[in-house]
Amino acid sequence: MKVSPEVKLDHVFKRYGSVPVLRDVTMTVPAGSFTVLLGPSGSGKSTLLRCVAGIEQISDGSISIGGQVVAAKRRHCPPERRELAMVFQDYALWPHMKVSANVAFALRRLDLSGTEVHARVGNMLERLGLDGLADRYPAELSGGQQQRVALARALVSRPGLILFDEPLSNLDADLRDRLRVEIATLVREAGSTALYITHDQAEAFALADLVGVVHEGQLVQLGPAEEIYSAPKTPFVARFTGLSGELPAKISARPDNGMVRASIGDAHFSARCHALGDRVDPRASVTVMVRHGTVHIAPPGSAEETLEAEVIDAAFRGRGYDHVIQLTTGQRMVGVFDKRRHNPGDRVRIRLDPAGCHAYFTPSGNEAGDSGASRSAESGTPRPEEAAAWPAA
Amino acid sequence: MSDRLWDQNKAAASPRRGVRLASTILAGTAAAALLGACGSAGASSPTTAQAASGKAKVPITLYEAEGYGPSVAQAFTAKTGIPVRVVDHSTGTLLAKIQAEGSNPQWNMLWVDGDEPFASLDKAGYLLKGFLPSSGSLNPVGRRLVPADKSFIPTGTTVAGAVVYNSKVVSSPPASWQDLLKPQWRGAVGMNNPALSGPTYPFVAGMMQMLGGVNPGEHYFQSLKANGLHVFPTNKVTLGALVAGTIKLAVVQNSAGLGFAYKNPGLKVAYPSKVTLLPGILGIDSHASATQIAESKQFANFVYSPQGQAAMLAGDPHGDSLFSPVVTGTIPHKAVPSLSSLPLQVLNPYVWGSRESQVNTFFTNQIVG
Amino acid sequence: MSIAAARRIRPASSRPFDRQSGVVSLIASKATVGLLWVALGAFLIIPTMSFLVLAFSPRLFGQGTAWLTASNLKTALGGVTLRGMVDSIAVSSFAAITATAVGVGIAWLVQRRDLPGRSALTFGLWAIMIVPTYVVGAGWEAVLGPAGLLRSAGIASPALAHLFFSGFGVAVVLALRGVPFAYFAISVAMAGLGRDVEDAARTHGGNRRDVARVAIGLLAPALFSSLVIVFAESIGDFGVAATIAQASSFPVATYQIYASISTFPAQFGVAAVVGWLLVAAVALALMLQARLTKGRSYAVIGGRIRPAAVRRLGLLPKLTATLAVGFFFTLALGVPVLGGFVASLFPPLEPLGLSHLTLAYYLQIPHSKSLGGSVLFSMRMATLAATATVAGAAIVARLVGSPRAGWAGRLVDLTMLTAVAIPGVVFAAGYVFTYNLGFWHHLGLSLYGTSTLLGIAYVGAALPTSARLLSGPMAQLQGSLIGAARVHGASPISAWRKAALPLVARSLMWAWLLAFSATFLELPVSEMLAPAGVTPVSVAVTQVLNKSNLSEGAALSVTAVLLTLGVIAAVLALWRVVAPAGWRYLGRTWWGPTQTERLGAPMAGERKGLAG
Repeated sequence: MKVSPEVKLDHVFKRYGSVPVLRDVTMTVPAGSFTVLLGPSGSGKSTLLRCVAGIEQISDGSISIGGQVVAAKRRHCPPERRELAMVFQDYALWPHMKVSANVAFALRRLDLSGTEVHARVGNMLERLGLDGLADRYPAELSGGQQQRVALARALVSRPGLILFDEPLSNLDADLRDRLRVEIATLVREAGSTALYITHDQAEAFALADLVGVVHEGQLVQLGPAEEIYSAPKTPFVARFTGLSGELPAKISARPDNGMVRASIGDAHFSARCHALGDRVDPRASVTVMVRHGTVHIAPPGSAEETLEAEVIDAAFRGRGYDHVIQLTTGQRMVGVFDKRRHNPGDRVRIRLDPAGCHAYFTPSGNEAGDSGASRSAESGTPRPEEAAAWPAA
Repeated sequence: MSDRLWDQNKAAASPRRGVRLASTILAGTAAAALLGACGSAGASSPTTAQAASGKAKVPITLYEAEGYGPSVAQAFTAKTGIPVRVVDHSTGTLLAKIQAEGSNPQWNMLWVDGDEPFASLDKAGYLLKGFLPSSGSLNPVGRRLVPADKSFIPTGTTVAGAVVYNSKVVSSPPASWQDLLKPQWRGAVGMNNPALSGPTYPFVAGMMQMLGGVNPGEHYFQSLKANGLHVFPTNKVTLGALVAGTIKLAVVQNSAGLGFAYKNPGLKVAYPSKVTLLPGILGIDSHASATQIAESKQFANFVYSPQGQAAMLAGDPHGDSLFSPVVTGTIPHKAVPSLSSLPLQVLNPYVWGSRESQVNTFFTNQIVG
Repeated sequence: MSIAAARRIRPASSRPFDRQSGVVSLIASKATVGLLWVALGAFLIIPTMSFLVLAFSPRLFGQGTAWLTASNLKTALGGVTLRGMVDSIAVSSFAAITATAVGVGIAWLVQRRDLPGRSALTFGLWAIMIVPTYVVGAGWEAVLGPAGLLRSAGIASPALAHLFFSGFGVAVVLALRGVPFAYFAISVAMAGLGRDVEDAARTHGGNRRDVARVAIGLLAPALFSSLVIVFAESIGDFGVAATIAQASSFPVATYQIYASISTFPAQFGVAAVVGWLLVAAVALALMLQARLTKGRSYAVIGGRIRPAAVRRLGLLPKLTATLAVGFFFTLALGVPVLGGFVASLFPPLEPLGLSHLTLAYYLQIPHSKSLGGSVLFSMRMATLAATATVAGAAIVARLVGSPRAGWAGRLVDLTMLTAVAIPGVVFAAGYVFTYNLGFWHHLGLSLYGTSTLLGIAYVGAALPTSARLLSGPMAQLQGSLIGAARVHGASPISAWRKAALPLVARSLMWAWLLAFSATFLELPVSEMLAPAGVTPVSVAVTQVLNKSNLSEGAALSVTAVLLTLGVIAAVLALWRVVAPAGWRYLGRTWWGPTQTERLGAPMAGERKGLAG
């Protein structure tokens, strides 16, 4: 068993020609942690992983594994000497090798005896439920089995660091869940440091000790899953980690204890203002990102702190119903749960749970929720005009 | 590189795994090939005609298109010990090579049929002037073929255009070239395209000279075309068409016709008035080193010697060896007519050589097209 | 080589992360690309360009007095030369369209229907590519020509001969020869098409014709690259031009080049202008292709495409399809082979009959002077040249096929495709101009007149086609397979050897065989560049054909082709014995039912260079 190393990225840049793919990424993957990088396709997360693996060379900055610098500007330690293992999205099994040979390949660098190799491969295959398939070629296996072989290959040498490049994205949902659990178990058992990338937030939250959100080549936020969920730094992070909907609103009262009052029309509600910073002007335009599961249908008659809406759709979910509703101001919220069914066309009032509402400045000249606006909104810059006039609380 | 070879040996020695062996063989051949390529540079110098005597002599290079060329070179080397590197291609290829080599010639001697190219080479200053072998004397026809500045050496001659016919089909061949325009031979005559067949240009040029110039000559060929002339690319095809019966008369170099007649006894060769000589010519490169020029002169003298003449006659008995000698005392093959019996004319290569591309262009555009 | 060098420089250090190695491998990879460009420049681009430059500046190479002239252009654009160009474009276009149509048909039958003998079919297609076109042309002449087989058998049809010895015959033979190129271009894309798109068209109510329309739309980029490659191969072809076109007085551009060179004084300048026109024609075709395929890309084969089902043919359709394919092979292979045998086994111009059958011409071969030497020499040269060609072509294909190839890759790709259209004569003459310049002698690098230069020229001549053939399989190599090997502890060489080589080994083998046979039987470069005293096989055959007996020449040609086929058979047998089970397994199943041809697929890399 090797010591699981810490992985450090320090101001890492990666360009393809003049196209920047990674921009100033700095992060630490603690030793023995399971860290997941979450981001949409094209965000650069895969490149980041390949840079750590050594398959790609970085343009600037440095990467170290276990305190050893493995990549820096004009310096590159080849992947085979980084002592890590990797699971690829497309499995990357060598089609001309049988399953056993594919797995045994990763043991070559350990200089083990033939019987030892045989035993370890057999063990690993058995552990992953692949016993009996050792003499098959990859093409003779199902997708799930192929990914298990890839997993076996990555784990068999008990590497200190294992990289996962969207290993589950080519599998169907049921298989994905089962394999995810296996990955978590096996990696924790081995005590290895794991760096895992995915575009699926559920997968990320289920697996991760630490989640990093990558957007347009930058690491936007890194922290425990709970923190990412409860205090997303930018609208992008919020959006990418699961929203019911987005509401354009105006600040109506001075922030207090991390909360701020916001209004849509004459309806008022509270939202978390951790991303707004200290200087918040009255009447500033904000976008409030509303988390899944924090929109409730208020009992009939309650008017305070509620917004009026119309039911668009209701879907049976076993324990109750998921509704799609539309506010009178036009915005839609999805996944609005209630035990009771509300029929499409019904008028309802909804209440927002302040813990699930995150306010961000709406950049001037842009519609809230416009994806093009997200970057300037992320920066959290206050609006230029500074006004002192807060209405009395 | 050595690393890789070492790898290869190691892999071959360990019988461990087939995969490894096979993949190394594939990877290793690349290295081996590169090594081999380096080695082959050195291995390229040997010659076909090795020095017979012990003393090392400077090799000379002979560009030749004569069927007997290699035999003569071999006999020469056997006699003198001077190695000869023979480059044996068609006349066209050799001339293209010489021209492409330009001011950095790689040949010492050129030996092909036709004196027009030599006239051009002489004008461009390539050829050694003022030398004629002394080991044999020329007959009257031979003397007519020597240029004033003695820049090239006739070694024998053929007839550029003779009429080959199948005696089983044709009883009386045409006696003059004008006869070919008669309705009797409508669609029955075939010849080569001078642009593609080296020996055909002298025939076309000879017709023009005989008729009084380029324009009357062009008119003649246009009339011939109007009378259904077939134009084929080379002797081989033209004679093939004759034997197959597509045409009745094939106008080709007489040695080719005589060679074909060997295998097809029905074929005969007629010589209408007048026929143009197509001499075999040897030229020596004036840029070569003094030693090589001296050796080349030795070669030319050997060609004129009885031994050399015998090698010429024996080298390609069904082809180029069917020439008419220009050196006195040499007895041609039986099938070859005596020069004195032929109504022949000699072209001035310096005049007609420079018209070649113009005439060939006319022929290709107007007669073939 | 550079990787090996990097390995040597690296000290045997036990430190896990070695500062030196990164820099070295970075330099090594840059050096490989640099070296490739130097080699391409020296052995492909400069010789070709120096010939082409002659068109306007004959004096530069001592071929005239003018530094700059348009007279060659004027000569070339008048009369028969221009007609030759027009003819060339016409027959090449015909060949491209016909070959592509037939190629689509065969690919469809092979991949979607249970045509009998599908693996033999692949072998047959390779055989068509391997027999040089001048042998094919001579074979047709031996059957249909004025003194041909049909005539000897007494069943000559003047009408058929008339039809064949015309532009039509030239176009048909070029088309037949183009079919393998078309097939290999299309079959990759067709395999990548999968069944889903077809099913989608069906379920949305499409009838058979609609399905075909959808499929053809998806195949469009492959169809275009098939058209372009067949066009380029045809327009640059010299063998058919020198045989059938010549015999039918049908002037085509390549033969005009030959004619300009073989008169004395040779009109290199005019030939160069025709060379330019050929290059321009291909460039035009490429531009057209780029325009028409803009924004489209290939379906790339991945693990997730549902392979199309091979459907059973009914008895009658099966019979028809088999007959049609059989007819194609009869024309493309049967006739020329028959012609060769007949010409070599029977005395010329005699009525055909078993009593005349003779092996005399074959029995003469061993007695021919120095022929054994010719065979050995050509075998050795072909082996070396093919090996170097495939190595270079693999690197070029990888470079062109790399998703990040950029403009450099595009440029290499363009150079390669245009080079396909440059006839060997032009190429060889360019070598003479370039490597016989005095300044090489001053440098002490007198390459001209050596076997080394001949070998290099062979490589240069075979490289473009080889690189095209390999670009498909190379582009299909998923980078992650090599990445996975590296990550799990393999060095770059070892990763390539273990994870990539097995996947492309079969294609490399076929490319090697093609380069081998093309070199073994190569004529124009051999004639111009063979060192004194050495006679490559093709030159020996030509000498016999020119000077002596037609039948002996035919016997020699047939022997040479048989020798080539013997080498192919030997290599294939060796493959069966030596290649590990996994490598051969790939041939069976990985890329579907008919893998060899897909592995040998050219041109999928084209999308990078030209489609965008």
